[in-house]
Formats: sequence, structure tokens, C-alpha cells
Amino acid sequence: MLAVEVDASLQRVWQAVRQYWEPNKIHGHGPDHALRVYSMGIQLAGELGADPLVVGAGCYIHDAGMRPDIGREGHIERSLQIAAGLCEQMPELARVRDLLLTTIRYHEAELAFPAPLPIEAACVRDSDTLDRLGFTGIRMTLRYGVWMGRALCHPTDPLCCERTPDLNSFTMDYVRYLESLPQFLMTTGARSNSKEKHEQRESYCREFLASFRQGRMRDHDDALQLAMAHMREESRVA
Amino acid sequence: MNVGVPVVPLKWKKYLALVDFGFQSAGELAEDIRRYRISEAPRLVSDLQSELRDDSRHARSSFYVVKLVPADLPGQLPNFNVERVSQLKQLVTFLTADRDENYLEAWYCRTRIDAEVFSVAGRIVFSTADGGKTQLVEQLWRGSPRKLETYSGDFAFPYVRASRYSWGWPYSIEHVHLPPRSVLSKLQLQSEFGYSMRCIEQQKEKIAAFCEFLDSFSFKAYSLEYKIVASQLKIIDWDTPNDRRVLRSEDVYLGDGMH
Repeated sequence: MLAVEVDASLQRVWQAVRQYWEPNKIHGHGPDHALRVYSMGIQLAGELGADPLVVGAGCYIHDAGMRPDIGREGHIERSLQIAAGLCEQMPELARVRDLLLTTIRYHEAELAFPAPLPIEAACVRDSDTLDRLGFTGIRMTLRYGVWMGRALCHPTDPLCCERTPDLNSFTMDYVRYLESLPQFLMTTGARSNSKEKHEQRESYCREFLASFRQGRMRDHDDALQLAMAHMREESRVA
Repeated sequence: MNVGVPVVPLKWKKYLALVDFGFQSAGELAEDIRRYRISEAPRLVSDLQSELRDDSRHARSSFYVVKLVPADLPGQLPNFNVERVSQLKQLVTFLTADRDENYLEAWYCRTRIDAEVFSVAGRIVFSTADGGKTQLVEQLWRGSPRKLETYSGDFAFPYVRASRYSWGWPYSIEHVHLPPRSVLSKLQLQSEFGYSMRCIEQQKEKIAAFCEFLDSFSFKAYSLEYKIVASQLKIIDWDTPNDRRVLRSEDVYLGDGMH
């Protein structure tokens, strides 16, 4: 396919799936997550010579199966159904159906996968993982925490330095858990990008702790404001 | 008695919350959801076959959703839809396939979908964002609400999406979809949607009480699933970001209901 045809097909995919992402803004997995993952995925695909149609479509669909009421639960199965439906409508996707479904089935960093994982699937997986790191990942995690009524942090060990993370109870424990994700990155480009994300997390946690000790980190709103301030500063510098 | 079934599946406890909040009686629930131990799956298949033949004799159409039920999953259970006797062979394969999960029971429920009855199913998502409460409704005609999850431009069912602020009236219709061979017109669809919402309005007090209970968990969103068949509204399921937390707090009646 010519690049212009790939672009047109990916536009059609996005038009078809955007509706699934919109309601998920409520837990931080709205269209902005899809677009960031797409942008990174296409960059990685270019670096590695992966099929941009498969990577782009995989990025646009990977979390489309999330729901505003139950979030992540069962979302991979629903994303796969959405992708299978699109393959029936778009012949160019039907030709790469199995590969596309593989990118979606194994998009989460923590999931075991059958080796060798196709390079297209590695691109989608690493792009999603990168977006879960740094300021973007912290903001998504905080919004997810608000949505599910989780407490912000442990009262005496807010950054989970001396405990096993309790992911269902404390949002900041999940932020700590995100630290473990870079080990799962598969591509050189993503690993290189993760360094900046690591610094973002370190800087956020430092300020979080300082604010917490001063009694200024009372709830998720305070933590979100800190993340947003960092993100504004990042975009100003950029 | 739950003889031989030591564990009440979490999904059943979830349904019992609907009984607690007065959406249906324990008897109605047991009648609607036919439960079988997993070892009795062949009996489920033969009962389903009888139901399908009975439908055929009475010139009715129904769809049946068969679920595999483990002990500790509150939702998103593997399921298989049956509308014709010819699908029973595939159902047997579905019920006997090797899976990682350990399933305790198999259930089925029935929904009439023939043209002789009004039959719709939907989901209301209650959400709180930016200080406001909204209700988003998605409804389809003559199908399972599970299908809503894969709504797309070539959806095979008539479909309406609408929203409103809190309990304000009326709903603002955001999207109407008519499949190519639908016998309904857009106007009929909107009118029937209005009728459905009035049915829901009649249960407003019970729904609001249940929402108040779920609000106590500080969730930002949760949903209720419903179906309306022949003017009878049934709230058939609910979902939250953390059902286990809700169920832990709910002193639900742990009845039997096994068939």
C-alpha cells in the first residue's frame, strides 16, 4: 500500500473507533491516550520497518474495549471483537487480520506472549507501555484511582517504600508499580524514551513527598494538579 | 439447598443484590436464570433444546445466553448465544472446551425477540464528572445488551444512544442507527425509545435507591443493564469499577436457585 493509502485507512479506523474511547475519559483512558500511543507507535514502526497500517490500527484499537463503568475488566476481549468487526468492513485490514489481533491481544506489558512476538506487536505494546510511564502515566493512574474510589496513598508510607504495593487500595502504590514496567520494553527506541519518563516519575515523586509532608497533598485533586503543572511546564519548555 | 455446590458464585451474589433492592423477587430471579452444575451441562443442553422446540411450536423467537460461571468472577463471563437448534452442537463444544478457569456452573437465560412482542435491552451508565451527574443510555432492539459493546456503523440491530443530566427529562438523543433491512422507521425508534424511558421512570425510586447505595463507594461511574419485554421492565445486571468491594459490604441473601 502507498503511504497515502495507509494514512487514509488509518483515518477510517480512527473515525470508526473514536466513539469507544470518548466515554473512557472518565478514567483517564480517553482519545488522548489513543493518539499518544498512535504517535509513538508510528515512530517506532518507522524505526524498525514494521507495517504502519498494522501498528497504527493496533494503537487506535488496543484499549477501545475499555468501558466507563468497568474500566479495564475484559477490555482486551472487547477490543479484539471491535478489531474483528473492523476487519469485516475494511478489506485492507482483513488481509492483516491475524497480525492486527496479535498486536491487541498482547498489548499490555505484563502479559506473557508466545515467542517470537511480531515486530508490529512489539511496537504497539511498547508504545502503550511508554504512555503508562512518566507524567502521562501518572495522570492516567490518578484519574483511574479517582474513578474507582481508591484512596490516594497510604497514610504513613505514601510512596510505598517499605511495603508490597497494594494496587487496589492506593493510587500512589500503583504509581510505584509503574516503575517496574520499563523492564518489559522490547525495542531500543522505547527503552531510550523510557529514560526521560523515568526522570519525570522521579521528579513527580520527589515533589509529591515534599507536599505530602507539608500536608498539601490531601487528595487526588492535589496530586492531579501537581501532574498537570509538570505537564504544562514540559510543553512550555518543548 | 445447594447440595454439592459448596460455593455461591460471586456472579449470583451480584444478582441477589437486585433482589435486595426490590428489582425482582428471588423466585423470579431463579426462574429467569437457569443454573446447572457444570457436570450437568448435558441437561442444560437438553432443556434448551426443549425450550427452542417449544418456541417453534408457538411461533415465537427467543435468544438464549449461556454463561460459564466460576466461583469468583463478578462479570465478563464467557458466554454463547443460541437462537436455533442447529447451534446446539457448537454450544456443546463451548461448554466442554478446555479452559484455564475452573467453572462451577453453567447458566442460561431467555429473551423473546419475535415481532409479536416489544423487546429492547440496554445499559444506563451513571457518571459523575466535573461536579455534574449524567446518565448515558444505549439501547438496542431484539438483541442482547452484550452486543452494545461492539456497536459500529454496520451494527445489525436498531440502536439509540441518549443522555440526560441527572434525572432530568427528557433524554437528549445523540445517535440513532437503523440497520439496512430494519422494519422500524427512525420515528418509530425514537417513539419506542421514549416509551422505554418512561418504563424506566416508573422504577425511578428503586433505581435511585440503588444508585445512592453505589454512590457511597465514591465511584465515578457505574451501570445498570435492563431489558423490556412486553411492557415488563427488568433490571438484569449492574457493573461498577469494583464489584467485589460492593459485594463485601452487601449483606446479600445467599439463596439457592439451582435447577
